Amino acid sequence: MHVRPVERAVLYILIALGVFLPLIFPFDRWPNLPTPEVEAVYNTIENLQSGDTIMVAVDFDPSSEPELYPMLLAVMRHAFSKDLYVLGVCLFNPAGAGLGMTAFTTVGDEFGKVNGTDYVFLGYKPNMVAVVRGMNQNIGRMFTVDAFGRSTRGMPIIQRTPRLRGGIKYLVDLAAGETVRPWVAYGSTPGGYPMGAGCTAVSFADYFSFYQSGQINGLMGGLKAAAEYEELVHMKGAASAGMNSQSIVHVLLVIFILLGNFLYVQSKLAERRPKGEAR
Amino acid sequence: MNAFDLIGIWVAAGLTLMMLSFLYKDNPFFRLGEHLYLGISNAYIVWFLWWTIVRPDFIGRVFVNLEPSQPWTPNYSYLVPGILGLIMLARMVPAIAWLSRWALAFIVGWGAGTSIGPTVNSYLLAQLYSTFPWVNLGPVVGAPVGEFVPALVNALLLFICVFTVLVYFFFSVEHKGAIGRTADIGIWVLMVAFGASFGSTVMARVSLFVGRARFLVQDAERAGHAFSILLTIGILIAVIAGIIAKRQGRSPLEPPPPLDAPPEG
Repeated sequence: MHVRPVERAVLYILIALGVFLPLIFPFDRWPNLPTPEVEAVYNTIENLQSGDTIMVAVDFDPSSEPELYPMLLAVMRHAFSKDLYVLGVCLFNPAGAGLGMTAFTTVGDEFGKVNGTDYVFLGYKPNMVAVVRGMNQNIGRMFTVDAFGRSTRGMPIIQRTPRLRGGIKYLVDLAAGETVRPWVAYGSTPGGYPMGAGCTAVSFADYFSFYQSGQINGLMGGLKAAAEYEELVHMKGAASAGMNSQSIVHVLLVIFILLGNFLYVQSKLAERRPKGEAR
Repeated sequence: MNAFDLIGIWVAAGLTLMMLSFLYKDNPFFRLGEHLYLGISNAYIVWFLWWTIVRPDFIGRVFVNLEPSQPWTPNYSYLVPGILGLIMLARMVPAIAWLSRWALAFIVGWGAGTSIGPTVNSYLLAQLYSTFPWVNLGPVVGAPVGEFVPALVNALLLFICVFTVLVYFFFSVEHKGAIGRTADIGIWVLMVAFGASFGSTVMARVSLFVGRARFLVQDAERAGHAFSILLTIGILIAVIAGIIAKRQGRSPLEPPPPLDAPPEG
């Protein structure tokens, strides 16, 4: 039993309608109730004092942008609204550095923050293990220039926070790949700072064991978690808008699965029936 | 919105529709978008790595003072990683390809030596420790029954699931009798885990489509109705392609032969 081209086209059209219609005619009726894992990240940042420094690792690239970029914006807005200093880095893929640069400057401008004083995006470096270990000791030696090519020597935020160990109060890793594990093993554990993570929905089940073990104190998975964070900071954005489409498509998928299984069972029963009974 | 932003949004909207056109069938527009993506992303990465790594971390530390206003002395120790990095490129010249093994040997040796301790601590011991029920029940000892009982069930379930899956992957004993039944439970646990992962994966894929759709509907439409205009052009092209396919005796929705397939006959 296979899907015929016409049936496939119908499925695509229904999914497209389910995605596009809520975006064309937006509504705000379905709340995204925060889960404890997302609340844990929010509460940690909320309980920091003005003037504390956090690190946000932009460990994703454009292929995960729809899920993780809204999360990045929500976390950045929360941090800047609390007057925290924010360090940024990208250790996953050089293609992600551009997203980090855009997010840091966009949200920084929204809150009137100064690049290099209130925040810095350090950009990309290969060999994540070596870089994380090096940043625990000395950020300026590991990154002589930031993502914009400006020298970090004499940069006020680097002078305030010369190293991660003892310098930052929280680390949030927004990960499209396997970067949460190295950050836990080489960053937060030896560095002694708490860590939360945001990841794609694909990785959520994998990383939950780190949340359960307490190695990370909060975990945000996929677009839904991003929408929950937007709800918590009262700044609804792309994730909240996308969740209406997401919810409708989920209902459609459940209907497709039930329908597909019903038709499959029906076809199997028809095959088992004696041929004489067939009309 | 300045002219560069406007052009950028139109190009992005066009490329998004080119990639989505694969849902209809493989076509030259999809191939163009695919090749542009590969070419541009690689060019960007090379430029970015040169500008933020090779120039400041190698050239700027060994050969040239990139900050003339600051005191500078060359640090020749950076020649060692610089040379190791350069000989990695020897793989492209067969006669001296063996040189690259030195750099690889250094990376493998350093990586193994550096990662064994933290890996065992963080990925094995910490995860194993948090599997035991008494560890997970510690925080809820003395808590109300309504809080303690769910935590107890959760802790026992976690321990049983991990144990049965480990038994399933223990191949030194034949899976018969009690071991076999335990391994069978492990299979069910794995199936549930795979189901959860698959569900999350579907959610992630839908999220990617939602992200692109949001860009088309909200960002591109505000930039001179880029989405409506480009979608109309795309539909017109698809209709013309469908008419041509019909004249050739093929169904428009029939999967076409691959573009790089040899001609028939």
